[in-house]
Amino acid sequence: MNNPLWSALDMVSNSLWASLAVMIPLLAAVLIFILGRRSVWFLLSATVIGVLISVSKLAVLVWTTGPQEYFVGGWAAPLGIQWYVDGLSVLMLLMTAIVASFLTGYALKYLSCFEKKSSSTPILQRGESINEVKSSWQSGESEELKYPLVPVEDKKSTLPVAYEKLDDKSGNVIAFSKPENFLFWPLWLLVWGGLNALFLSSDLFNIYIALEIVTLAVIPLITWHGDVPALTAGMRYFLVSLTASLIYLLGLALLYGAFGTLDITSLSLEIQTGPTTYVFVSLILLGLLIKTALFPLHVWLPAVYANAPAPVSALLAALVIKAPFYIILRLWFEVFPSEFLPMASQLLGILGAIALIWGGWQAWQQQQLKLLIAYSVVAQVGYFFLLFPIASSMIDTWSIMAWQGGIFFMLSHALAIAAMFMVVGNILYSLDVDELEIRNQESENEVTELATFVGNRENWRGLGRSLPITFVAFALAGMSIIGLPPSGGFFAHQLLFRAAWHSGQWWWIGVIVVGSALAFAYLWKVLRYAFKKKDNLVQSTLPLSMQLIPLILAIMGLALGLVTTYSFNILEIGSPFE
Amino acid sequence: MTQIIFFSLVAMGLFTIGLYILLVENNWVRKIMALNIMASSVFLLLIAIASRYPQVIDPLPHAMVLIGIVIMVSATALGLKLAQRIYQATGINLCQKKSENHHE
Repeated sequence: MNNPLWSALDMVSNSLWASLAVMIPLLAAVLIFILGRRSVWFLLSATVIGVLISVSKLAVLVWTTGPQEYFVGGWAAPLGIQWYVDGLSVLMLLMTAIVASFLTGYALKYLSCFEKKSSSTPILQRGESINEVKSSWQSGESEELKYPLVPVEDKKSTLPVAYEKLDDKSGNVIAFSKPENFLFWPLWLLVWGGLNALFLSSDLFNIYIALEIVTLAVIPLITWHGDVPALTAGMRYFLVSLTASLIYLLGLALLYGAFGTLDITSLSLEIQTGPTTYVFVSLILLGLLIKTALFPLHVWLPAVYANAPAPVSALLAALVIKAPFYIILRLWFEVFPSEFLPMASQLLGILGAIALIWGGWQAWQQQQLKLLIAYSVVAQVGYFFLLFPIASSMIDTWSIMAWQGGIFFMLSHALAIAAMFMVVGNILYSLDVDELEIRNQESENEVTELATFVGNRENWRGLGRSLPITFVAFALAGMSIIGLPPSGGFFAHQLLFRAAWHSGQWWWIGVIVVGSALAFAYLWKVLRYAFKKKDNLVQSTLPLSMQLIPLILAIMGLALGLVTTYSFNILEIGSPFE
Repeated sequence: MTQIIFFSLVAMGLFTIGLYILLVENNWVRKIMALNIMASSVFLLLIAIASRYPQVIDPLPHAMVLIGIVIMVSATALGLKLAQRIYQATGINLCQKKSENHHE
């Protein structure tokens, strides 16, 4: 084993796993784009297996030999790009790999189901009237009816893919051709690859690139349905997150000008405290806070989550929103000057508390299921930020506790919220409601007859009986979000409680309790009527896999509470509290 | 040194102008242009920073600017396409409808 060739091979293979975790999704994205529809199944399963293997290899490596450093292309830190993997990034990578794998399976089924459902209806071109298209479609003349689209009159009965009413009087309709379904996957895999790259990078500029890959790839996914509310939400998200990136880039440029490095490890040594540094650091923090959607910078979030297709909302809420938070966490404890922290941590804590209570209240007020869950994300983001005031003094044992608690929140939230959005997708599918209806922003406050309105008791009644697995998954995911034992959320709550108590900041406990009570209230609102008796139950044609995947994720969220010691041991590897 | 300060101040001014336009303008395309102004200002700042030593020029900010330009080009393309889609669907190019006048 002392053979130099062996050790050289060992080094290569060690750095191989990290680069594979990024390269496999990116490569598969390009290949699917080139090879087209037929390659989707093969390349997606290859990606899922490949990423799972490489990430778990990486985890084993970190577990056995401690934090890993890689110099991409063999260039050292000041010029080259450095990758750094410690316990925190390994946990994030594992979370991403697991959640994204399940979501990929779900999205595959989801897309094919929706395609099947809507394949019997014609497409409308811009300016064509409904009747023209109907007649040409019925006579089978039209060549252009490649993509399914539903005329406005039929929207109650069938599932439209994309349409927009232009003018009531003339009956003119604008329609966008639906993109080929397989084009979903290159974007999806780009997001995944970008996330992996982000969790591996230890260079601020490299993180910026990864963030941009994620943002730019996720916007077409948000606007996938191509209708006006989705397009507008996508546009707003585009503007907000690009602004955030540029603010981040500005802070980064100034930081580079002042200290001559962007590598996190060397920056933590070089950085000096002072008012100018505070400004630079605040700019970076502001950019990341906008992307994390902390109150009051969350305004873009509900519309985006409510308008995106269910698997995309799940991806956004479970993983994409965690990425900027992970960077904040990293920079906070490793780079930011310690004099900056007490002041800023109180501010973040207060904003988090407001987000928690206000978001919970808003969620409780919502009549649409997707908006309800979107606001619950706003509230849960508030939880994450409570760790900063509690952990503000770096030296004490309870700051480690708060730090672990916050990270644990993130992990269990990722599993739970992914399950929840998939449940929403299932409900939409089985009730045969087109998503456009509930996505209609204008009818947000009206109580209509649509079944997906939580407020409409008649349609909710008995839904849990026809979709038992789905609703059990929802309830289990809800346990994790409220923080009932033995879920991962419970342990996260408990850790934050103890840390808050020991650090003498007991008022945060009150905030957390109120937040949990609100979470219970809004989730109960969904479940309340679902299991009531009803004579004619909705007959569900939902594929079993679409029901089982959220259930598995929800159970994993619960089981997270049982493997706490392992995760804490992983977190200790290379933690900033040493 | 004064040169760096001058260009940094110009960059800050441009960034502020861009941010102001972004917040005030109601038109999607103008908002995208504002983003481009902000991006250009950051690139200007990075180039100014690259010449902070009298003798040597720091190559790293140049690389960053190149990558930043590539990102901004693709982002602009995506944004313009979104704006075009919205315009095709609604016939208006505004972020907030002033009123329902355009139907009349």
